[in-house]
Amino acid sequence: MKKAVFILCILLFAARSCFYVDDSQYRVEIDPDFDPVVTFTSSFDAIDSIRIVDSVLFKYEISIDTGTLYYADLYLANLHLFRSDTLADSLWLYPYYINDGELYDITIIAYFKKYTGSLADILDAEPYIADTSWRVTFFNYLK
Amino acid sequence: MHPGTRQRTRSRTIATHSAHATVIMKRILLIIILAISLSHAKGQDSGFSITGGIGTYDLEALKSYHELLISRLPVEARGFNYFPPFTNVRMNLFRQHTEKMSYGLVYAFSTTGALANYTDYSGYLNLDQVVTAYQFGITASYRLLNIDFASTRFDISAYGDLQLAYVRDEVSMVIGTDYYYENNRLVLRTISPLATAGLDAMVHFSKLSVGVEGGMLFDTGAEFNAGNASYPESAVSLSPPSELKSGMTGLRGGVKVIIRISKAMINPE
Repeated sequence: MKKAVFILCILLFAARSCFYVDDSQYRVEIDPDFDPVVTFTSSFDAIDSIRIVDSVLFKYEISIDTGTLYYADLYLANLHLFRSDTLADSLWLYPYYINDGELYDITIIAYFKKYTGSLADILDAEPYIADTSWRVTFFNYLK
Repeated sequence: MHPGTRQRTRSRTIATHSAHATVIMKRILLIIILAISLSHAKGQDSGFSITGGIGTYDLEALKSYHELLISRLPVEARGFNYFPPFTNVRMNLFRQHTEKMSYGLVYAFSTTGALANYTDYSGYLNLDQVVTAYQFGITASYRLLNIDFASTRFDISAYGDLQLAYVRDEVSMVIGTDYYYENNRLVLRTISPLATAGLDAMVHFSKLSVGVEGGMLFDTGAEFNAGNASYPESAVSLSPPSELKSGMTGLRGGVKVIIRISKAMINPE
């Protein structure tokens, strides 16, 4: 009996909140299937077989028809080269940094907002991804 | 004088008087509680009662605060459980002063809350406000009607409480998405003087009495302190409006059980 009263007292004094019987949710249906058109253009587009012997300036531009770019990551194979939050940027590539005569992919991954109106989108926490890559052969002229 | 100056001065004066009255009432209550605690109990019957039930809550200021919080949200959330009638527990340790009158200490616990939610495919947002009052004070009861039948007795008594309530209002907002999570919490506190008046109808057996109890609680409405949010960089400010006051005023009712230490006063004949 004493134990039961003690437990009851502890519960009463320690309890500090109500609990909800009705755990309803207000679910809003949003259709996120709309995909904006994302296009990538670069200074390598006009070249059929990209061979880099000397240093070269790689320029790119991203256009998103109904979205906004958060940032873009540029990779050389799996190596992360840099991150930019502008739609157009550039980078000098030096062939002597890497193995001679091998094929590499230069990849741009763009993270962008597409204005779905969802909670995550409003909080700028819903990045959609688009990417493209260019296959490049590097020749190390110093070897 | 600037037109607003007089109004500001008057508001400050009213607030000062209210705070002064609260302080005096708290001191009086403390003195009475101490006096009852230290009083000599020899030769008196005593007992313990517990009432479990439900209470309604006015909470006008907290309701406005909740609406203000909902209006600040980045999405259109919908409210559920808007400070509904909720748990109320009242415990009373009493001494039978005369056949008709008893007095003692009382502890009561009241709580309710409000919840707003928004959910879509990308995540959820919960805005939760829970207000809880821990009430300590003194109580007195006077028997109005007594009917004896067989070995039991039925009576109706009026009771009144004077209490100090530690009122705690906790606001929490949780946002969960794949790439963004936030759990922000704000706790507001105050100590508010309360008064309760009500009736109970009891059937008394040997050492046990059962019945119902109901009354009205009046909260004088003390001002909450300005709490600090746990996450100041939150997407939504939880800061309360100025002069946010407690408002636990409402009806209280429930099932009451009394356990008596001595049965002498039950069947004094």
